[in-house]
Amino acid sequence: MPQARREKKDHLIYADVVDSKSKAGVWMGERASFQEKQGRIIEALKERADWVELKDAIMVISADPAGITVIAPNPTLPGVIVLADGGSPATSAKLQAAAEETVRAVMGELGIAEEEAAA
Amino acid sequence: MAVPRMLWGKYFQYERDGEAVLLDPVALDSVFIDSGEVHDLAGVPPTTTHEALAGLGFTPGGPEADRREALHDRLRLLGLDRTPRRISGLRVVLTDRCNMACTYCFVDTNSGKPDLTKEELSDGLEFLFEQNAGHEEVSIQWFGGEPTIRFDLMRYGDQLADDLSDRYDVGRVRRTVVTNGARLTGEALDHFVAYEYGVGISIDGPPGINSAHRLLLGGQPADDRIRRNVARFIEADGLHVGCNLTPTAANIGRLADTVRWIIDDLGLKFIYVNTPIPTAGRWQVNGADLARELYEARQAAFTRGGMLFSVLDRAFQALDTRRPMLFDHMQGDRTLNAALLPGNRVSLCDINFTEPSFLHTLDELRVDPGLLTGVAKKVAPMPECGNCPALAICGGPSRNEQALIGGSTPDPEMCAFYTSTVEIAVWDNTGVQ
Repeated sequence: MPQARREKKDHLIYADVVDSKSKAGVWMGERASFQEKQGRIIEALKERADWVELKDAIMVISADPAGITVIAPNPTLPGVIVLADGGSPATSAKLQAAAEETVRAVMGELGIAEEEAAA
Repeated sequence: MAVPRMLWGKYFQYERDGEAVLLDPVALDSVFIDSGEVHDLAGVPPTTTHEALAGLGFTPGGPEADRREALHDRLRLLGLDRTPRRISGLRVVLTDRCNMACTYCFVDTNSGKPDLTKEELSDGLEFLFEQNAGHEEVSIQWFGGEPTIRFDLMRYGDQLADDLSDRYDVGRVRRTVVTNGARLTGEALDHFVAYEYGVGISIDGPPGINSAHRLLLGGQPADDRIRRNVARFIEADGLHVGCNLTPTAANIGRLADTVRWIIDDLGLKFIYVNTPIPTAGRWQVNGADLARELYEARQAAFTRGGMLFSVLDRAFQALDTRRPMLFDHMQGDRTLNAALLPGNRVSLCDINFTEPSFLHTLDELRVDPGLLTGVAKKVAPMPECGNCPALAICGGPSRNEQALIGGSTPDPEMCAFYTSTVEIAVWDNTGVQ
């Protein structure tokens, strides 16, 4: 199915992107502010969901193709979680496959065998 | 970058590896279609893809509309007016004296002209607060030359601004300074901390790059001094410190590396990349290359926990929000940052201090607020703009660009830049910034 671009009206920092307020970084003050808000949001979410901390999770950012991939150790099972989000369904699939391949390659270099999923 | 073809005479179709994105250049809606759907779309309608697209508002029918007119209608519908409401911020040009001589500076520095006087500063700030009485915020940006050369005026102005904000019931004063970082006294640093300044330090990159265009007046590099002062800014508690990066011939081709150096070595995590200004009558950089480099630099900043803003963000925000982002030099609340200049003058464009059509006295602006129209953008001034995918993102040259290039015809590199930003942004909807 054709997929409309996601609507995003919540840019963390509303950037007019003109050559005036931006110049001296008036948004800089927003950084501490939004990070503090993010912390509060996560704390509040913890009250409403069953959760487990993803220690050592990383977000990989790529430009070609554009997308983000969250890679994290599964906290309760052997294995590594890979969640990719690209600019289109096909790109997401590409990123997902590439990241999974990288995880396998790293495991190979480290001499760690891939375990079969339990039936 | 590949030129997108038109679908049904109204949508731009970008293709890559068999996939495609359709873009409505006026409404700014866009839709991804996979390779099977691209193939399906070429079939005899109505196919499943035609029907699905119709469900998303993408249809072949409808009246033939002039896209420039359609954009004007859309701006009216969204209440986006090109004329500023009022001046809500002043870039205060304290002096044109500078301890550095950067080759590309848009200010005519060390000309021997007088600095801003205390009286002119008082009058300018009085005007700013009076215009914003009862409003939430005004911004004051100290600018030069090198503004810290007249730190005495900054201190005086900040104290006066406190009094004026009380008198005119203005909620907050946002203070920033644009400095080259090559001179920083302990007294100034303490003052910046006390007033919670945003500090923008102009740096082009590592020493080899920075010193290509940014040298002290005597011709020697200032990099060691700047590095020490950046560290002092960062260590000071309560300051918001960032970097103003100008794309130059020395760092073009290495913008991503430059950004990595700024974040990793200097420790500055907020980077604003200045937009090219055709001060010599034309763009000096390749627009398509710059767009691609800005994108790579943006991603490089993200991977290091930094933020990078540039005019490229206009395309992302326009596509993500479906709102035109074409009013240069005007803030999102339709207010304007103007420049307060020595000689009792205000420039309605804060990056052009000499263009006569931008210059007014405070009294002229008080008597006739309609003068603000003088900086209002003429949206899509050329018929060619109607055929451009960046129609609602670029919107044609700003008044300043028109003044600098001497007409309404945009610089080809500017067109290449904006069309490239759109092509980059249509393929990236990750919304990481």
